[in-house]
Amino acid sequence: MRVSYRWLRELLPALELSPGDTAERLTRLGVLVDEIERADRGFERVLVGRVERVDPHPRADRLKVCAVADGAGVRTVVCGAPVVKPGAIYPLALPGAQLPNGVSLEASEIRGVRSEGMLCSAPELGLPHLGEAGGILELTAAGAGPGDAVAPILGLDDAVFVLDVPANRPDWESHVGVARELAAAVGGDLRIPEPETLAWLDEREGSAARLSRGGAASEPAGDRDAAGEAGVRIVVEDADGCPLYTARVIEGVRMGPSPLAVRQRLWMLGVRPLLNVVDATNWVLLELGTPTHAFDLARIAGPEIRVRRGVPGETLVTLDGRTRRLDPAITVIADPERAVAVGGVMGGVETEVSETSSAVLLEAAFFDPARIRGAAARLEMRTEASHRFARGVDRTAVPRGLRRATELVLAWAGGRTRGPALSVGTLDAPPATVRLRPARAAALTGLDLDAAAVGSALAETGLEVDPAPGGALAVRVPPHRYDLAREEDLIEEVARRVGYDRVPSTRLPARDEPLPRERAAAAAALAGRLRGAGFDEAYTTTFFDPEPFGPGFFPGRLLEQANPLAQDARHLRPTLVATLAGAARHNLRRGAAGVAFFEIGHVFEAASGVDAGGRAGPVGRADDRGRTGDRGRTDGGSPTRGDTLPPRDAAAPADTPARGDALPALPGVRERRAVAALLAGSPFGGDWSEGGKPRPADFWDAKGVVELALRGRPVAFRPSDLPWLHPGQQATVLEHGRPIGFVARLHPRVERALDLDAAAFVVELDLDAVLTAAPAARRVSAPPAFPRVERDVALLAPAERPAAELLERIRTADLAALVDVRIFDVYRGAQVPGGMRSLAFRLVFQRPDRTLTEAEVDGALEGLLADLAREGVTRR
Amino acid sequence: MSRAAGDLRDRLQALEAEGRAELASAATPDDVEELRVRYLGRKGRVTRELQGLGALAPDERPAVGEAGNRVKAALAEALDARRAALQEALESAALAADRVDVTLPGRVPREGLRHPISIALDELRSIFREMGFETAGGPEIETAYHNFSALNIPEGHPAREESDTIFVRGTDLLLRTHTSPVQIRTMESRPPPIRLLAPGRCYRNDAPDATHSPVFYQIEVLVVEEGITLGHLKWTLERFARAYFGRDVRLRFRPGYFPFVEPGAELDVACVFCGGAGCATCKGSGWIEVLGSGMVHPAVFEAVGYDPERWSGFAFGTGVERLAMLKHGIPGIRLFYENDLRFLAQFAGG
Repeated sequence: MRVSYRWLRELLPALELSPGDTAERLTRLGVLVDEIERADRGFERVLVGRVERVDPHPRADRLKVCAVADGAGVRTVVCGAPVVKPGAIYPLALPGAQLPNGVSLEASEIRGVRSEGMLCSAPELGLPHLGEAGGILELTAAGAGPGDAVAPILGLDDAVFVLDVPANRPDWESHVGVARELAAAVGGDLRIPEPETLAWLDEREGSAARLSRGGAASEPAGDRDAAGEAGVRIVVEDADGCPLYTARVIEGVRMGPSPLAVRQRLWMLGVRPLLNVVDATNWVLLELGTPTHAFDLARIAGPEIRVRRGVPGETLVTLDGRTRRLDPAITVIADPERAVAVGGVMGGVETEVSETSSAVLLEAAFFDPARIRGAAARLEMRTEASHRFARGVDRTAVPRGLRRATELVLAWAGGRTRGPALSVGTLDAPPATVRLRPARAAALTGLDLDAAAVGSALAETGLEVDPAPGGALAVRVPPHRYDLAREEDLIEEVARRVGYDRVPSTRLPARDEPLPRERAAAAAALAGRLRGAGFDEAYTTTFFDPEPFGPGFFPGRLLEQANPLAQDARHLRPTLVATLAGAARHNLRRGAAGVAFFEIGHVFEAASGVDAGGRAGPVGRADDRGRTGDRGRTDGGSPTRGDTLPPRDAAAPADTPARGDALPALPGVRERRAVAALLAGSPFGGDWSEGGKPRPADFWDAKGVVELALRGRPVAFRPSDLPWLHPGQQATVLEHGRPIGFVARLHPRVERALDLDAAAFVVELDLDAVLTAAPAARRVSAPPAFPRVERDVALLAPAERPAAELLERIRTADLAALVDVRIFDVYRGAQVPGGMRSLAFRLVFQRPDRTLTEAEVDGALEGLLADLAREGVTRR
Repeated sequence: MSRAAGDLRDRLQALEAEGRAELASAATPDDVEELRVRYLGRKGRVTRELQGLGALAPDERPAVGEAGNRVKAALAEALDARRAALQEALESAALAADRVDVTLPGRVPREGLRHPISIALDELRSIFREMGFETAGGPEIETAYHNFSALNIPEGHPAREESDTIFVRGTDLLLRTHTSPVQIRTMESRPPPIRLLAPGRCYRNDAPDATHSPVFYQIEVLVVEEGITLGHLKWTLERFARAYFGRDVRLRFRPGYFPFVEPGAELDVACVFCGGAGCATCKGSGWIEVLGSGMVHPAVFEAVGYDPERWSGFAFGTGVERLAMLKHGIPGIRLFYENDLRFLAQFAGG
């Protein structure tokens, strides 16, 4: 809502605050002033100039050299407008002016004549709507003298407040509403326009005399049907959608532009000035907040207005030129033959007033807010009228709106009313009474309030207060205050009046209950460990394009937006890898040698038979279960399948994170928390001491994330075969046999499709699986007192035998005093027979009670090697 | 003194002089060791001369012997001194050769960058934990009931139309438009008292620009206890704003409207860019809106089965990126989701 400061002062002459202070006061009352615009911006060096003499330009036929009086002297101005004439007054921009259209002006030579300024056109002054002939704006009629400022002549010595009106205060969607709020704050009487108050218009048009006082609108009666002298029949069939319909006929109007000041003010407030009759309805909307509409009476069949529900299949071309399909959920204004307007939303183009209209039907009505919200939503249109009706218009103000519109049409377009105002429906707005306990007001606000203080605060705002039983107050709510429905609403009203700055800042009471362990803190600690390991933290968007990942990417299990803005970013990520890839590409393309990103976030899948992606058929849970037991999965989904994940919090002992923090099971979707990393290119090292060569990331960097996140908890890695991952470099991560994530390289085809230009290694773990099993307090012992003995042994083993299995074989062999074994080298090459590989192990022996002898260690080792040899694993 | 004794003594003294002279030209610790063996070793020249003591008369032996020991001691001391000097010189030379260019960069194990959203969230969590708030999350896919209806935003309410909700195809669900549904889920799950901080990702169907992103983070704060007033809300907001923006930040607490609170309030901070004088960022007002808040609406308490006559509380919510943008002067919200390392690196150590 754009509001004119000057208009507010016209409505509330007692307002003496500056525009800035007014804005501050409004904001503190809850009417947020988002922006203050000075209407005369760009007019700082634009003065009134009077042309004293016009000579032809010596070297250009179409230019003229003018002597222009600027109040201080006479300057030479070259002008190209053919209409420029001596004695006329024009806006004169001086050198140094920054005009509203963006042009900065300097003195310059034009074909050999120095021009010290410019006579301006309306578009140059940012006022393209002002009619002008011949390329300059003539202001002669304004009666100003040379050197006067131009802005006031054009009504631009004003400030415009851009208000952010909250949805519960439709009464602030008008100048009167805002002025009423200010009046309660600063005092003074509000001058709501009544038919007599047309002072500033009288001066300009002298048309007030035309006002037919005898024809002033009669108060509406409760008819369902009205006609009479006006010669128009009005029938309201849809009284639910339109409880009150009023109209008035004005004939003999002269269509044309409104007075300059009217057009200027509308323009400043963001409303395009059109014909005077239309301007009048827009003016009433801005002034009173009451939507009105003008029909060309000649185009109304009958003439008869029927307010009814839309008929299926019926259409209407609205003023914006679009064809609207109507239906019974929409209240329609019609004549006996067809719909002529969408009630409370927008008029139809066929009955629009035009320059040739001579009789108009002015309409002011009250439409049901829910009906208007429905209509606006179904038709996907929002107008100034529907916006106000949807929030609630003061129905008792409807007659005033009609009177005011009538008055303005008569003033600006002439004509005369025909018959009295017509009215169908009822004004019944049962006065609402809300009970308010002063003690409750004090308890909720912390303000020191008693009945007297509460009563006077409410009286200030125009509410009538009566005593009620039990020390309470009965507060009568005026019809424009849709927001006052409950006791708390009145408490806010009191607090607003007293001032939020007087609410005492009160310390929260201390809490003695210890805070629980939090999942968020555990996740932050995990993030800290990943950063410590050199991974950069990413926050990527949730939405992505599955195309590069190929058809085997979560087939049938992708969720997508029902109403996407961007078609290529409408799917919800089923894995963080899907969106981390974008962060990798962004940086690799900008010259990063490599990336090592991690992210903690939510991931989403369709569940239980929802064919969200419109791809493959429904995915049944039973079907899933059947396949997840299978090692050779072929369904292409995530290795961390829902059904095999632990029930949430089931395995959580005393260290369960914050209460109520578990994700709920919602029908059709599966949402999980996850932690993932993606490495691509050469993200590590590469400083001067290493010769500047960074190390390329590989599978083991990704796998290391699992070990880092799980901190040595026993996990197994089982090769998997998802089609979007490298066929030879992917594994499911299992903890106690349960899948909790995956580690892999992306399929090179996918890497190419993602434009990564580098191998990308990825890992993802279920965050809750990582965090819920955090270790409890553990018992420890002093370091061993006796020395350790190490033995390195290289073993030749079949290449396909998993290293982890051999490691486990050695670890669990019955070797006394073996305390640690690890792999320190893997070799396949010329010296190793085909089909075999060499794995080098370091075994550590130690006893807590004595020093081991070399002989007993060697003896134990020989025994192990002999056993291994029988399994086809020999010492190299 | 016999002639023999005198000769022996003279020879010993000559050896000392000779030894010292040779020592002077010793260039390395090895040279010095060689001289020690030559003079003082078991077969060294001094040792051998001293073996001649036995040939002297018994009454002459002490005097000559004493002289001999003096020579020995003197030579030994000279040898040690020379050796020490040479050793030191050698070491100095070696150290000089080991000189490093101390201006070359050190080798630091590379620490990963913390994302500005995490920086803000970690800080907010710690600010509120000190005030006794526990942190909890919630689902990003929500029901319309939790996201709207239970928050006093019934169907047809303007706030519902204006929220630019993203719906999930094939379901009745939506992507939450704010973190407020966590209020509902928390209150549904347990009775008061509650002091909750709920950070999380939210969604709006906004076309991306400098200040809009379809994905953004909010924090939600909820307190439900007995006797909570608008004054407690004010204190909490002030404490939060001062902890986050600095002690001297100027604040404006004013009425505002949100369907799930009543009375409602908004908090503005004096524009961090112009200090309140008015600039493009604050659109000339000198103030920047940072959050919406208010006393929990009784309709919300009724929805979760709390007795509004017994319990009162406040709630507020604010955008995390917005807080970070104000604090760090970040020029656009898109930067948060691009993850450009050159942008993130500016927060190193933060």
